[in-house]
Amino acid sequence: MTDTTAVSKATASTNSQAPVGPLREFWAYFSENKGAVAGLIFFMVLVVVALLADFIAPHDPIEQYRDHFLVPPVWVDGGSWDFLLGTDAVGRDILSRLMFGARYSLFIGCIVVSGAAVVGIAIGLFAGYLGGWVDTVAMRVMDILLSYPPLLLALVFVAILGPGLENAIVAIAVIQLPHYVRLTRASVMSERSRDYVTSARVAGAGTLRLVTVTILPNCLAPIIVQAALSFSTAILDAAALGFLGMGAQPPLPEWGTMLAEAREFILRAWWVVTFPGVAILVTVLAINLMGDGLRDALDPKLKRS
Amino acid sequence: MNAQTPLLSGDDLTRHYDIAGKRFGEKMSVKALQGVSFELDQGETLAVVGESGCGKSTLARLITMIEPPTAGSFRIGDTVVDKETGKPGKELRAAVQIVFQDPYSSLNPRQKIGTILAEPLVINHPEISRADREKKARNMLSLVGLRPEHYDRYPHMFSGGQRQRIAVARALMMNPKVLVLDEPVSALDLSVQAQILNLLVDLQDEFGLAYLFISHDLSVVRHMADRVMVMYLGRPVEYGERDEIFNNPQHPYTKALLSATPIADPEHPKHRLKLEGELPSPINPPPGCAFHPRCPIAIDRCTAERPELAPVAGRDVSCWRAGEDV
Amino acid sequence: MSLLEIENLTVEFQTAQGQFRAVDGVSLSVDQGELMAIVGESGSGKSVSMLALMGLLPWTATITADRLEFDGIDLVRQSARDRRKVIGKDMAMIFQEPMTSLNPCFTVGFQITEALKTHLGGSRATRRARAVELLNLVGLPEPERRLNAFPHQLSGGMNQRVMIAIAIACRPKLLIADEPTTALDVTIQAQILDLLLELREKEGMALILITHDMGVVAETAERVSVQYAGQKVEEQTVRDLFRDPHHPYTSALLSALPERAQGKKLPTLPGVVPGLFDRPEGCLFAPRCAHAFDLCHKRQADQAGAEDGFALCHTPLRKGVPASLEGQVRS
Repeated sequence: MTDTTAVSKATASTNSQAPVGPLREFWAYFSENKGAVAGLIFFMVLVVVALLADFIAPHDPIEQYRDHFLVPPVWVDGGSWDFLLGTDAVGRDILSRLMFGARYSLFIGCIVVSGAAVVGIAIGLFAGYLGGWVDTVAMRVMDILLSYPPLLLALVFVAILGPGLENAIVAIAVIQLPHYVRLTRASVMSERSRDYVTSARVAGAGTLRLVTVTILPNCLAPIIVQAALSFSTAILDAAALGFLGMGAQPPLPEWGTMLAEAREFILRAWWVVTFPGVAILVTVLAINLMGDGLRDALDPKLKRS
Repeated sequence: MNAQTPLLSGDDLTRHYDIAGKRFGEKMSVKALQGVSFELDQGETLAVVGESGCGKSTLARLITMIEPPTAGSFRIGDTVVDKETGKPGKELRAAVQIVFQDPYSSLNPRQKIGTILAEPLVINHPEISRADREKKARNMLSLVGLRPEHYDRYPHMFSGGQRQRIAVARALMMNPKVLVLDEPVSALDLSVQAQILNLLVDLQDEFGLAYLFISHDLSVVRHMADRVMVMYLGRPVEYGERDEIFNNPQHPYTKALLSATPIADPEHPKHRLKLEGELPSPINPPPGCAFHPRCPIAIDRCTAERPELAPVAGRDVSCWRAGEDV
Repeated sequence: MSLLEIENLTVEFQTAQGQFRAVDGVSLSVDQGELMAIVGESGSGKSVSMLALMGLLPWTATITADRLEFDGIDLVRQSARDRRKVIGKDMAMIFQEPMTSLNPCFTVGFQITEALKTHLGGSRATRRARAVELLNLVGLPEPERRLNAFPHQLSGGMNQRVMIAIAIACRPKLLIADEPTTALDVTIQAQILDLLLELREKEGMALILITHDMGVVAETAERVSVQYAGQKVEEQTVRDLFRDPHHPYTSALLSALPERAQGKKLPTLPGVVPGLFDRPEGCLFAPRCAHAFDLCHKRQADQAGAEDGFALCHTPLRKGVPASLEGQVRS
């Protein structure tokens, strides 16, 4: 009876469709969310701008043009094509500063997220897998971190360490830590009783291998979504710290610092305040939209197959 | 190891779990397994049969050394494992491997099949070169009836039956002597079940494996087992040769199990020994014989004294009324 | 007039990988008080066809049928509102996993009286009395106390009884049971099946039992419909089906039963059920069929007559011999 398979398979023609690879499948879900796609496009444009700022920015971001203080944007009376979005109180071109500022925002986002994620995942993995006192200690520390208003806590860190971009990054990474720890811990706790983990234990895997090689890859989906969404939080927090004068220090063209310097000109020269604010708003919005799309695409329960 | 020593034998294996009670500070004990003794030789299959809470999964966890016994011991070849034994060494680990029930959760979704198969070797024999590992894994893949191109695929691209084959292949990578099969075909369709059972028979013949076959499906047990152990609430109630147990069950629970199992033959007379009530909780087992609240032939003695396993009619039964004509 | 008439039901799902035909031209008719079993393995579409009937499929499903009538009511043209008057009242369904089919946040009593309130109204006292009566009917001990219990406080068997109580609350004319005992232990399974049969006798309701367990089919069904890869491949009375299966798939399924094993090895079907990507042209079973010939791979078969069990086969088996080879001399 088994011999007929060869014959049957040879003669049977099939109207088959090849299975779609995981990347294409991901894109199919992701692209259904138009907002997410728009966010992704904007984000990619921002990355390109940040990378090529040296070449495409019309001016040097810290060069002061003494004859052109507070020049309005080009479409307003008194504007000039040399300074498309106008200049600030010391004559620096706002457009160029925004372009270079994108670098700082992206840099901050990347470093904060990577730092918080790596440390947070490590703590969460061991807390979730080992349980017992390790878990209790780790979670109580995280609870303490979470019970402070985040910005206040960041301010405290910066006050101790001293104002500056690097210290602001460390502070923001610390306040984001608990989210990664909790997320990882929850995933690990639900995965550790699954059969494939027991199978690895029976094969002789030790705790370190179990936690990093076996369980971790299966916890990544919610962590990726968290990373995308906290990217924008990092930018906002850095901007807030900058606004308060505790983050990036002038003359760095970081968007929040630009806002701080422009405070007194809100009525006199609205463009000095508005454009950095809009830049922050639109970037954070784009990243949030992307993060939403990512979550919908990566959530296995929403899959339809 | 001489011919007289069985490959795997259990001696009064017991496992209790301590859990927190309802009141603060209260400790309760779940008696998941009590007094299990058995023997298993090369090329033999011992079936462990029972319903929820009977302790069969706990037994699997003890034999594969995921957990230590609370009391009692078991022996693999000449090595004894009891609650004092620490983490098992490489050889001991290699001797017993397991295949799980659910093919959809027993393979790591993020690893390719090749990685899954090679992992036991990576962990235990790092001295084996990558090329040799791959060769062995590919060999194993074809041994269980899969094709070479499956080596680079992920588990979700396979059907339940194929995944179960992969699970078997992985279990065999360490050349075990004993394979614990925890409901290996319960989650599979009937036609696929037949394929996997055939595969298991072939592998047993080729490698002389001993199977500890856990199942609640009596028709599969009848087909595969040499000996059968029926369990209820953590204790063995009947233990003996397959044909003795199926043709002439002595314990009332075994009789009820057999009669409750549907027979795929409409002409077969439906004789239902209906068991009333629910399975009791292992935290608070009934006094005396744990089965007495549901037993159709229980007498006063059953509520007071717990029967031990005793030989009756060619097998071991734990029932005060075994051997009587009821 | 029969109670349920399904003619040429087709269900397609929109998936990320393309359109998937889960049910392909299935027809079924069930009379008042009849006991029909639908048998099949994974991918046979047996659950999906009944869920389509009850209107319980997600928005990604497209349901088409020539006829879909229950008790004279045309389910295809009905509005969702009118359909809700029938579902749960005259036509009810119970599912496989009792633990997840009941709402864990509400008591058992609340869920039973909810069904009563939606369809029958009445005062709170009458509803409560009826709920106690129902729990007695399904054999749940201490029903008054259980009304206030939550699903997680009851065992699997008890939860399934509660589900049955909810389903029969409004005295349905048809009860669809989708693998009601698969998740239960064997002794509890026997209790639940006996309960379903007993209720059927008492209430005179028709019962459609969906299962993959041939033993359950043999012991409970009157008529059996066999499904494969979304198509109905055979329908016969239970005795005739086991004695003389007409479709090669049914025959292969029966010979794969461990109880029918001759020797240590079981006869097996090569290959797997066709999924989305490998749907053959012609007969869906042909790639795995021992008796397939050229025509089988090219063209789908028509349904055979009643004497051949309505088998979807070019050469139905008669006593194990394919019709095409009947009368031929075999070497």
